[in-house]
Amino acid sequence: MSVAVYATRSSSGGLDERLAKRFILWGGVAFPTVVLTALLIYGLRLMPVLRASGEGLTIAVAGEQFWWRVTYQPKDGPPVRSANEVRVPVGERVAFALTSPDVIHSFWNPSLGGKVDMIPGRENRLVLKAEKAGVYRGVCAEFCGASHALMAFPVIAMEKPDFDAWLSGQSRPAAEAAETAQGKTLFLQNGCGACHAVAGTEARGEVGPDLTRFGERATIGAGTLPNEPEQIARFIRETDTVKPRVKMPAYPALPREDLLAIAGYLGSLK
Amino acid sequence: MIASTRANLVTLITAPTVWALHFLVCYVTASAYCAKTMADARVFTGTSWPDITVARAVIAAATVLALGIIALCLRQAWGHWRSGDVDPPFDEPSFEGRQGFLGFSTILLCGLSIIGVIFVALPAIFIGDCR
Ligand code: HEC
Ligand SMILES: [Cu+2]
Repeated sequence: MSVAVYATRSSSGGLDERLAKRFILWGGVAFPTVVLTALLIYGLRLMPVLRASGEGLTIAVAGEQFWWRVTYQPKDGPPVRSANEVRVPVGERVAFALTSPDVIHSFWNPSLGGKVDMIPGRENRLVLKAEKAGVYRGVCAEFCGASHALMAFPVIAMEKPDFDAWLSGQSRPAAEAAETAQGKTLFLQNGCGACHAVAGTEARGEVGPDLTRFGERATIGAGTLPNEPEQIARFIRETDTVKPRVKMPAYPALPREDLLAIAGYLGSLK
Repeated sequence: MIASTRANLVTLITAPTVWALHFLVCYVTASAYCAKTMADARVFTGTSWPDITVARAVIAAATVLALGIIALCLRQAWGHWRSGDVDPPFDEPSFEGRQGFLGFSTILLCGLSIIGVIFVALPAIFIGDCR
């Protein structure tokens, strides 16, 4: 702008023609060409890094209305099922296999990487690497229905040894305590096991989130409520009010003590 | 076109046309080659990748050819521009004016096309596999 002002103000005698030509040649041709070439080369050099392969661990994530089905596939060792929360080791490139059984969702964790759509009938790939331990919040970034806005997932980056210990611990069922036995019975009696799986019990349902380690999650219903007994009870009693259109029936008829017993049981699954 | 002593619209658009064709050749080569070789490679999980030397060689050859043709154009246009003893703005309705105008425009388009062709070919240098 100051150049423009200078140019209009000082039109005393016009510019020397050779100077003007040289200005156009260097400022209008050479300078942009050099700058663009440098930027292009810089960008191209970064591209292979962006698309590097994972280093062994693959995590399959399916976006479903309105939660995330998570399956860890370690290089050696059995797959581990979980939901609504993703744990990764720090400093390792982790491959994600992204799918959807119903409508288009989009897997987006802005602090770690770009968003990638989850498209029915396709498997999309994404490789993420967390540089620092911590919790990175992610969301569904493609409108997918009534509770689209209630579909978040934290990525929890753990130091590699912690992560390995955590992952190998996942193949064992959660420890059970005597005081939650009543809650477990109620959980099974009310047919929750038709849709939910809890490893080590008769509950083997595949429709809803795996609850084997539900107590480890910070939230209920993909970031909808904090994971506290009162809130679990509320989620079960008035599911559709808390999270519209979820594929889980509400249980308004369950007595409060039963709800709290179930909540106590689920919360203890660590 | 080659060895023509008269500048015309065909000599004017030769360089951008070569640029466009070069882009097409590079694009089609890379995508067809990668579609074939990557058919059963597991993207992002594999550790080794199909060799793309053939595709790179085709792109290199196309680039050399394209730059060669554009260089010829440039030389010819230079001759047209310099042939008449006229200065810009070349607005005389004369043969020299037309030669000068078309010649100079062609030179500029040649320069642009050279940069375009190089930019199109650069990824083949820096990206060494089909990912
Ligand atoms: C028809 C299948 C179905 C039945 C039966 C069912 N659920 Fe669910 N449940 C779901 C689905 C689907 C979700 C995921 C909801 C969402 O967030 O979109 C869910 C989510 C949950 C969650 C939250 C999980 C998480 O990871 O945040 C809890 C807790 C839960 N259900 C408990 C129960 C209990 C307790 C019962 C039995 C009283 C029950 N469910 C019965 C399908 C079912
Ligand atoms: Cu969604």
